[in-house]
Amino acid sequence: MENTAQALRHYFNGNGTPVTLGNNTINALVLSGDFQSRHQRIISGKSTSLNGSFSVNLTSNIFHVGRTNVDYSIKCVPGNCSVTYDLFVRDGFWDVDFINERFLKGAPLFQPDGPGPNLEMFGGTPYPYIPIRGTYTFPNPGY
Amino acid sequence: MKTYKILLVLTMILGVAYFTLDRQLYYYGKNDFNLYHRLPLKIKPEYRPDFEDGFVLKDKYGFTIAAKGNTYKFNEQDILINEVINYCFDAKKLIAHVVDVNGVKYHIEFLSNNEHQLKQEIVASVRNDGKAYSPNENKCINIKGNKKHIKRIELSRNYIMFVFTVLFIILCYKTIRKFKNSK
Repeated sequence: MENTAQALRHYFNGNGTPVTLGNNTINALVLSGDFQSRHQRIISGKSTSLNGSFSVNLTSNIFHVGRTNVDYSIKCVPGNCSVTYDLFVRDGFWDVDFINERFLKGAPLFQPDGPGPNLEMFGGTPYPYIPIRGTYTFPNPGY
Repeated sequence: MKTYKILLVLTMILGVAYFTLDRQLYYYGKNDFNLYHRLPLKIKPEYRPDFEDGFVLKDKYGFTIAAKGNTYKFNEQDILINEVINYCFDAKKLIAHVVDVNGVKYHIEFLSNNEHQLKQEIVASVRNDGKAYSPNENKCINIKGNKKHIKRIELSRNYIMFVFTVLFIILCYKTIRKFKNSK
């Protein structure tokens, strides 16, 4: 899946089956400034926690993904470390009614609930993205 | 003219009320505006139940530092955070009270890094004895036991925003009309 039109088609016809995002979408995330600046901090030894997450906003490039999550896990052996990224984790195409979410948040029926029934529209079925895993090895900067 | 003045004062009062409530919600990560930097070390609270399993504390670079999934060393063991219960802070440090995946409670103290061999800006030290935790000395924010109160503030803030927007539009309309009539 590479674009918002395909994402919408799957929302109405896909019965909620999980989807794998395409290479262009993965590249848009990995090459984004948000991701690269966090990656540089991780490989230069500046991350406070060895496991955690951050979010990357892709709304301007890939509208249907919007703001997504990246989990990271740093493991070190003497000399080397590796960081494993899980992209698009705990994310999917859901809570599409962003106007009511914005103005009526706080009311129980308008709380974002991921794959739950709140904030869905026109009979569409929310579906999750299948996370993509990638690992990068680098010299131990002092973790 | 009198209606116009009343409308103006009412709009201003609602504007002040809105920002007062939004400022309170900042501590729970539910603020609308990113105008407030009120935690030490530029730590930022966020609430995103649909993405990040609820409440998280992030550093200024957007990394979660106290959230479900963060790990820290304690007695040579990794502890994996499951939930943030509350947090306390003063001008220099923040202490998060967390529960790990085994249900054990810990306090994680976040301080500015003064050791040059470490590259992190914020260093975390974990305790489970409660010594770092003094609710009397620090301002504390209760996340888990305060959900109804937070929801009430959030709803009030949203209703105020709605009425404020309507009044603001009426006020703009009246101002334009007044301006045209005076020409």
